[in-house]
Amino acid sequence: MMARTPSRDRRARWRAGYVQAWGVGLLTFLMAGEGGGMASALAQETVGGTAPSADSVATGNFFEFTGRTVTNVQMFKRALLPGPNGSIVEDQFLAPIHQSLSAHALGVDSPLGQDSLEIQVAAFGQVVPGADDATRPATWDVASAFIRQKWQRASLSLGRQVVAGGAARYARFDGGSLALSSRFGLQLQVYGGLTAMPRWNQRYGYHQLGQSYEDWSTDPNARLHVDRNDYWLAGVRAGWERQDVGSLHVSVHHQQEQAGPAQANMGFSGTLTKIQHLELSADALFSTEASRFSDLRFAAIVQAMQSDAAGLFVRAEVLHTVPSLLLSQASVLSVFGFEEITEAGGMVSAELPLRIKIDASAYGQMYQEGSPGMRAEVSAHYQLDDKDSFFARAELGRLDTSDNGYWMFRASLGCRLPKDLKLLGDAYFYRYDDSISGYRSSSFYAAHLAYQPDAPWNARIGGSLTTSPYADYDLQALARVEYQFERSRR
Amino acid sequence: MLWAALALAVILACTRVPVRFVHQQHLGLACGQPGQPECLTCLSCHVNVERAPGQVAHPSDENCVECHAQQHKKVEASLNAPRSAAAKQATAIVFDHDRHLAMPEVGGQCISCHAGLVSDKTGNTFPPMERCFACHEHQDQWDRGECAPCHHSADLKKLFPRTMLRHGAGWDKQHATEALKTTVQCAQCHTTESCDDCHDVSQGLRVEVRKAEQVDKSFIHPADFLTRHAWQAKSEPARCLSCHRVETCDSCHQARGISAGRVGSENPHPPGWMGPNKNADNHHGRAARRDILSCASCHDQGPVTNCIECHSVGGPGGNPHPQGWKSSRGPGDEMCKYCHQGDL
Repeated sequence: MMARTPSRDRRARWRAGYVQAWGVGLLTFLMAGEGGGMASALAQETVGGTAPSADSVATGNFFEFTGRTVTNVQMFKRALLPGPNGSIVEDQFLAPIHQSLSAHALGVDSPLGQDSLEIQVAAFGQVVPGADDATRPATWDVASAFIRQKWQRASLSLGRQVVAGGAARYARFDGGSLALSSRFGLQLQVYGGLTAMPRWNQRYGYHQLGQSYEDWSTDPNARLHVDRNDYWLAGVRAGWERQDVGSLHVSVHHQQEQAGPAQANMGFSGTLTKIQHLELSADALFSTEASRFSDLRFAAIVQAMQSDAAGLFVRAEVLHTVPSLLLSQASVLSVFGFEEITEAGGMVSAELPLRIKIDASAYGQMYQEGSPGMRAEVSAHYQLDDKDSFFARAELGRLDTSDNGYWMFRASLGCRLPKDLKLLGDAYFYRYDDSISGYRSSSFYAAHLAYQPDAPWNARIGGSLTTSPYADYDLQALARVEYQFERSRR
Repeated sequence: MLWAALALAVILACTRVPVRFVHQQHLGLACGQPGQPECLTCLSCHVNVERAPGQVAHPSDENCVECHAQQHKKVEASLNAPRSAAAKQATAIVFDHDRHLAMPEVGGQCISCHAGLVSDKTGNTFPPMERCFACHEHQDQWDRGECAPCHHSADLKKLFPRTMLRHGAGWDKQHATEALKTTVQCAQCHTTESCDDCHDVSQGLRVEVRKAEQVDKSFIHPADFLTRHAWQAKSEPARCLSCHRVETCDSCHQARGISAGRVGSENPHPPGWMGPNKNADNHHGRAARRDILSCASCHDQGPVTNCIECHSVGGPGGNPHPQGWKSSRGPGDEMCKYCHQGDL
């Protein structure tokens, strides 16, 4: 257990400044790019402006800058603690305002080559007016912020980014990633950096991927004041891929936490696409900590009749997994057992003429301990045309576990109204096998009115009504405005 | 009955979007004979296509009213009709029509590429990529799935693949598998924002709320998920951990007073869950063996995890490690010391 010290606080503040600096720095770069700056270029060029011929492309800085801002405002009443046996609980009215911003520039010229630079930034902020002690009144974070420089068949990404797939599964980090590929389909990726942690480790209920304990715990002994330097990750992934044959990848990933290695995995994956319409794939995750496979998956996929009018997708798969090995291996519970689950099942998705689509899936689970489980769904979709004039869907689902199970029915529809308006409705009904707090069912109804003009912005207002074992009536309202701007310099 | 009436009213209120333009109808007009209108060519309407390389050069309403003089409203409705998603995307690609029309292989004929306008039942306006390959030999790049540099990365972001990498039936269920196979290929068209738009769990506002109007989609945590989340997690334990960590569960459980990490929390377990000796009902061991992730969602508290109060070395709970347990951790490992204080 490490106590927080002034020097640690200083480091935390420094790191906070580091993240902010990334965001501000990237945006500054965007606005003061080469050739007189992107800002001046944007002022001169507009979407659909004069485009160069193929020859003149070679001489101009051909890039695209896109920005997007989405504002969501919610209104709801909530009770943090459900009242046992119908007891009255204290509720609160909240109206959080959530703002997300993202921007990217693609195909920017740099000294290392034409169209060789990419810049991506995404961040969000949230304000909850009148929030009580249980809710952070304001928070924000940078989800991603990186520069990617390409040079021939190599690319180097620096900043906050994501690594996904293979032994890493999914992790967000601040660091660097180098990717190399050859014309023969060989690929190599090397990455490393500090694992992304929640911003200031403060917001209630907020967890960035890969983070550890937060300060919300009311048990002071359970608090773990983290030193970010103890949380790092690194890995390498090598492979070969060719569309008409298949792929083969091997990867190694190590993720460290304060209490020891959180993940130490090797990943293997292979696909065979040599047979027309059929793809066979196998993935394996091997824990080098426990010296055993933690996840094995075999799948056969058939994709046939793919055209504008019809398509058929069939997937059959078998999964064998050891859940305790998917926990952070720095968790003491990860060494409490190696119980295994085997799951088998598949899905079918058929796009039929007349814009009808049928989806069905069914999976069964076998546990070493206890009774088996299953889940299944079937749904039918109808779309009048490709301009969203009218859409309807009906869905039936079933889930069985050793504790309880339920039937689910869902109905949705959407239709276009005059003046660029769209009306959308969604309804769910759940029927539980065993009652929960005396209730056998839940229902959810939502309706939305969306304004979607052929313009860079759109808006939506809507609301939902839920009745469940935890609330007789839960009414929520939500409004959203989205604005997207694109500027090309061509 | 009320719901059915409401649904029926909504359906009746729906507006069918007018067709924007039927190429086949115009190109197939009887023409050129006495008493018939002048024959139309592509350039009759797309007058600027040669002068505006990279542009689609859509005709203006002035082109239309040359023939449809008395049908201003109809023309206006047709030109103002929203374009299909495919049409919007296709206008994003930069293409030098002038240069291509001048090539001997094309011979100034639009229809040699835009054959779908007259031959295809769907009236597909845009040529498939195979048509490009008739002249441009890029089969090798195609096989490797390399779109750039023929396509500019900014164009690729807006295009929807129709042939190779087509996101057809089942794609919403299959895209994760494909994306995890290789991120290089996805990155040709998609930015990180494409993934984060739905999968960014850092935002605190669930995607089901952010995109509530997308009623045609199936989200992971729909409707009253809170009531069902424990069973869903049991049904797909590995799936939860692909985005969340157990601390995500615990932060919420602590706030609601049902976590071991909260002082004075309410015990949610049924009677007989845990007993002081071997003769007592002791359901918790079996439950833990079956679903340790559920345990971790409240009890993963590092060195103060209450499980190790009994299950540490010398404790009454006995050795929790399975038979044949082995680990590559060294004696100085901090996590091991939680239980093995002096015997490592």
